[in-house]
Amino acid sequence: MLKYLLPTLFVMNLAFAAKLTIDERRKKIISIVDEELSEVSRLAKQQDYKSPDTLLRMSELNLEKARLWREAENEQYLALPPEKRRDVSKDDYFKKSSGYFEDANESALRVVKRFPYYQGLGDVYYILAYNNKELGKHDLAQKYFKKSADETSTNSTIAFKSKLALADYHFNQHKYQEAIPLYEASINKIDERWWTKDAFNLAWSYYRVKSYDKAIRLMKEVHKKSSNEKYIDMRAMVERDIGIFYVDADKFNDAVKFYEKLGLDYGEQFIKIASTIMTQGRFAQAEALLEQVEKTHKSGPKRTQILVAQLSLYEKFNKIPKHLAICKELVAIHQKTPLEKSQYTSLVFHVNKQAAQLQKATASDLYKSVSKVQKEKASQAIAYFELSAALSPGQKAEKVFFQGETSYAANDFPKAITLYLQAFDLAQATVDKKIMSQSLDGMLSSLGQPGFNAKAAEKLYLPVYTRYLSYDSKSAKANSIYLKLFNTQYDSGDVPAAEKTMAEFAKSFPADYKTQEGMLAKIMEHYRNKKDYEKVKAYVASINAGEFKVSKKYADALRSLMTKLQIDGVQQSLKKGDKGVALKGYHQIYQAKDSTPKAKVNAAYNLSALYYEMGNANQSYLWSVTALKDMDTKDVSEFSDSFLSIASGLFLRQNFAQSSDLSHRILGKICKQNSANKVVAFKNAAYIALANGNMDKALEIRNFGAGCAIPESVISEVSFEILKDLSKSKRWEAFEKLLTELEENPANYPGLIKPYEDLRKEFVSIGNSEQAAALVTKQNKFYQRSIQDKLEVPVEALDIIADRLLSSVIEKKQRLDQITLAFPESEFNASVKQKLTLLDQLTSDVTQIQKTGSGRGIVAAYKYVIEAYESFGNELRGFTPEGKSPEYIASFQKAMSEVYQPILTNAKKQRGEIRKLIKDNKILTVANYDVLYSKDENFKRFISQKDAVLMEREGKR
Amino acid sequence: MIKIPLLSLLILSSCASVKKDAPESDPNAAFNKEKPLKTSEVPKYIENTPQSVNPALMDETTDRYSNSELAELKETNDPLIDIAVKCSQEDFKGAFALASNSFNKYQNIASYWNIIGNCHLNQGSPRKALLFYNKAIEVKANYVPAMNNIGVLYSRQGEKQKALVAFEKANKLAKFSKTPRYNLAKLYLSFGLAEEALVIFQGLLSSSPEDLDLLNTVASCYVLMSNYQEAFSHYQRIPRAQWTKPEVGLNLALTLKKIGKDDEAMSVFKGLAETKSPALKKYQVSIGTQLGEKE
Repeated sequence: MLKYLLPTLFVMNLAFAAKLTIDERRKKIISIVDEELSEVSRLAKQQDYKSPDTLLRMSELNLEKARLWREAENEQYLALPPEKRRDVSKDDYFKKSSGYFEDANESALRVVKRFPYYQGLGDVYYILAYNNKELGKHDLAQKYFKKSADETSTNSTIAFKSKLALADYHFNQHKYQEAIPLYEASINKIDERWWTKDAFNLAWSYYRVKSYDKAIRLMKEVHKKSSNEKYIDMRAMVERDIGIFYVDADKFNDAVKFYEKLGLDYGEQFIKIASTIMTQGRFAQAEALLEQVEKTHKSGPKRTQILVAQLSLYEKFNKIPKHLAICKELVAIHQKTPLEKSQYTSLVFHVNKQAAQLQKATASDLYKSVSKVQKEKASQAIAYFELSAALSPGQKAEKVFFQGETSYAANDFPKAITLYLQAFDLAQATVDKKIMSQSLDGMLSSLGQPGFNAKAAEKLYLPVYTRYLSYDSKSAKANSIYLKLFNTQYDSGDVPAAEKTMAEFAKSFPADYKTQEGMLAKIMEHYRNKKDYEKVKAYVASINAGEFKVSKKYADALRSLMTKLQIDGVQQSLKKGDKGVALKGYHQIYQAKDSTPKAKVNAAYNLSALYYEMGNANQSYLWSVTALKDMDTKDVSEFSDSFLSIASGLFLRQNFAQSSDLSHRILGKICKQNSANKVVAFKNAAYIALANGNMDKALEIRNFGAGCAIPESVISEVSFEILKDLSKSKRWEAFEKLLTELEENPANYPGLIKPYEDLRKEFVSIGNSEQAAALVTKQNKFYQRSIQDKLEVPVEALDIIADRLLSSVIEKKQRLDQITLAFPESEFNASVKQKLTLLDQLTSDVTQIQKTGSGRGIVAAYKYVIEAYESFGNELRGFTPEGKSPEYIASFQKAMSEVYQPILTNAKKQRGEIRKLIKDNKILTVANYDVLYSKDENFKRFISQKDAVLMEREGKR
Repeated sequence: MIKIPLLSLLILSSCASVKKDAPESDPNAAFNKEKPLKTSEVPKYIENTPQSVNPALMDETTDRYSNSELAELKETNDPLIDIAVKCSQEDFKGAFALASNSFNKYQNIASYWNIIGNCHLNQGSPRKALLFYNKAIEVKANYVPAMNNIGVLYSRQGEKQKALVAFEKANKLAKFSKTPRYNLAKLYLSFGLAEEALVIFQGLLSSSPEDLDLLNTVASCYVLMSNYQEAFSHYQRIPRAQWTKPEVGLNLALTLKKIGKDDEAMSVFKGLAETKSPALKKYQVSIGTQLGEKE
């Protein structure tokens, strides 16, 4: 039965193998199988399932049906779109075939259970094994294949097939030692189409257990038999794998012979082998294999292949120098004739990978302490990046940048900067902003490394900074780069370049006054040192034109510099004593269009000083006025001593109006300044104006000074002097106005008494008695207040007050004189009494006048009192009552003598007192004659037409 | 207590120097100047004085010189005296021109500034005069001529008490200077302090016994003191030609009267030259009355 069955199965297999997708044909076979199955099933039923052969046949037919349906189901399942296939249940698609497999199994298992001694049991097990293998139940399949092999006769085909199936299971499970005897036991027993395939597996099993000779021999046999159409053609696989066997057997030459005999390119084979064994980590062998091949392939595509293969090998083997050499050769080849795409891709991959890895290694901490190795790695990385750039010219900028980065990591900063510079230039050509930016960062960072040799760095500043600014001229970093570039250029002596940088900086950072100032300061200092003042002036002009923005402070400093430059030359003349030249120079500076205002002021000032020294008062005055007009208040204050000297000099040279005017102008300038010279200027201006008879000017100055915080005492002092002149010139309105202002301050009261007396007299003279009387009241008030405040009252004021008191004395004296002594006695006595009372009052009045301290008043008062006493005493002495007897008269005169004697004595005493007072105090008053001399003698005078004598020289002493 | 007026001095600023970078030395013609003289290089007294009727103060002042005497002084080689003479002759323009030319040479000499002050005073500008006197004092502290002249200035302004203070100060500073003493004595005498004046005048006269002015003042002192004999003895030393001057003849006439020489007294009185001075005119009336002269 089985003999019949198996061919059927095989035919069916072949039909399937021929892609029996023809449903009709499958239907016919199924129909035939169904027909027999129907017959066999009926027969089995008739036999009550007691015939194992019938049951076995049922199982075989069900198995055949299962296979046919499984094929159809499989096709149907595979025809589903993948996405739909994922969502369906696979069991549902294989339901029918699975049913037939189960049926086949059921029949076979019924035989195994019911007929344990059935002679065809081995065949049943084989069917069960095969069914389970198909169902993917390999453990069961393996179990039944074993039982099949054991239950069938040793030489039966089923036994050999079962052993082969088991050998395959062992082979696939890498159990070569167990597979080998099963293959050996069965392989030569079945001379069928699959022998080459099974023998191939056996050869590999030999190889795996290192039986290389057996393996090689069997492989050669497989190769030989494969040429026969009867067998599966395994030649290609043998040609592929036998090389490995030779290599492992260390039989290169045999391998070469094998391939050469077959007319095959052993090189290609070796390359394949090398690739294969490399995957197994057998690098030394792969290397040897490829080196062997390489010797005989010095050029051409094969060499390229060898080189490409070596790439992987050396990479795996980490043989960097060799790998690099291969890469270089491949790149050279590629540059002549482009590599195949896969080769090119592989090469690019290797080059870039190595470059990256080596760069990483260079930068790693691992080699930091091993400088030599680090440098080697860096060098290699750079070489790889070089090749990478050659392979990808469009990325050259990036590759060069990486080279720079590698050098940087290796602390080779000069080289890094050189490479960064190249990278930048390349990137700039292709407008690769990223690389440009990164390169610049690299350059700047390199320059800033502490270990970088200063001299070497200096040489690189220029190219680096120049490039940076071509990329970025506006950022904060650009700001600092400009400054560094400027300094580099300046320090290297390339001032024109530094100037250009400065100009560009000014455009990029117009608001950065401070940096512009710093740059300008250096440039201008340079030109100053070179005495190229035209250039300095040009820069100042540029600043004035706004080309460079500087702070006000700096602009002022520059103006000062310009002033200094303009003045310097003339100053030199002065230092040399060449004053004539200096004078001319200052005139030129003053007239020059490009002179700064400060220079002009300076020139004007110095001209005034020079003319002053020359004795040219008029020019000195005019230039002083010019200088003062434009000079800063602060400077005027600083030079006020000098200006005052010039003003004083003008006065001394009899130029009074100019002197006063100049002092006035000085005051005008320093009016609001805290300067001691303010008072000097004020007083000089006012007094000289007065001295020059210019009262209006003096008043103007006085009024101006009041607004300059001149001390009030000084204002008052000047005001009182002005009052004197106003009084003399009878300018009463201005006089009164000034008085009114002065009386606002009680401290002025003592000084106001005399001027108010002048005014009062004027009022009297014009008949305005009311105003005159009011002024008397005011004067008295001022006097009383002054005494109360213990203020010093001028002598003239005291005289006025004393004169006022004196009028009372005069009045009493007149009243006394008017009282006539006459009898009757009672009337006489009353008159005497009246006169005595008046005398007492007069004496009292003198005391009051004495208290004023007025010498003139005191003398005058004494004069009247002495006269009163003397006249009254003498009157009493000479009085003779009329119509009285001589006795009475004698008695009366005797009595009167007791009255007049003391009076006359008192008069004499008073005369002595006042004489002493006059002499002791040298009181000079015309009343002196009246009290110093008797009434008969007091007419005498010394009158001289010549006043006091002026003195010119100290004389012979 | 008698109050005494105080002198107020106005000091002009002139102490500061010009800016440092101003010219210092002078090699250029325009800046050539005469070297300023030192005080020691200028005479302290008036040299080569001419014969004078009032020689007592002649080494100190030209103010008592007659026009003819001044004319003689004009011939000196002393620019300062030349200035003073011109001022005395009221040639102020010439005086100041000369002063200007002498500026550089004499700017450090107090006498120069003092004489300029005198010119201004004589010209009727007391304020200017005072400023220059102060300049003189600034150049030389306590410069007696200037101090004296300030007294003259006040005196001329009628401020006799202030003048007194100035003269006293000058006298105190230079006890042997004659002019301040003379002025002081004259001031005393003018206000009746004959005894105080006499002491001073006599001292001056002893040095210059032939000084007519001093003889007259001494005589006047005696007149005021009613010592007519002594007065007369001094008048006698005055040439008769001088008796016609009212300031001499009036008191002489009184003296003659008092010593009983009425005729001579009247003769002198009658022979007095006419005066424009109101004070003298008034005094003439008084003396006339004393002589029995009817108005």
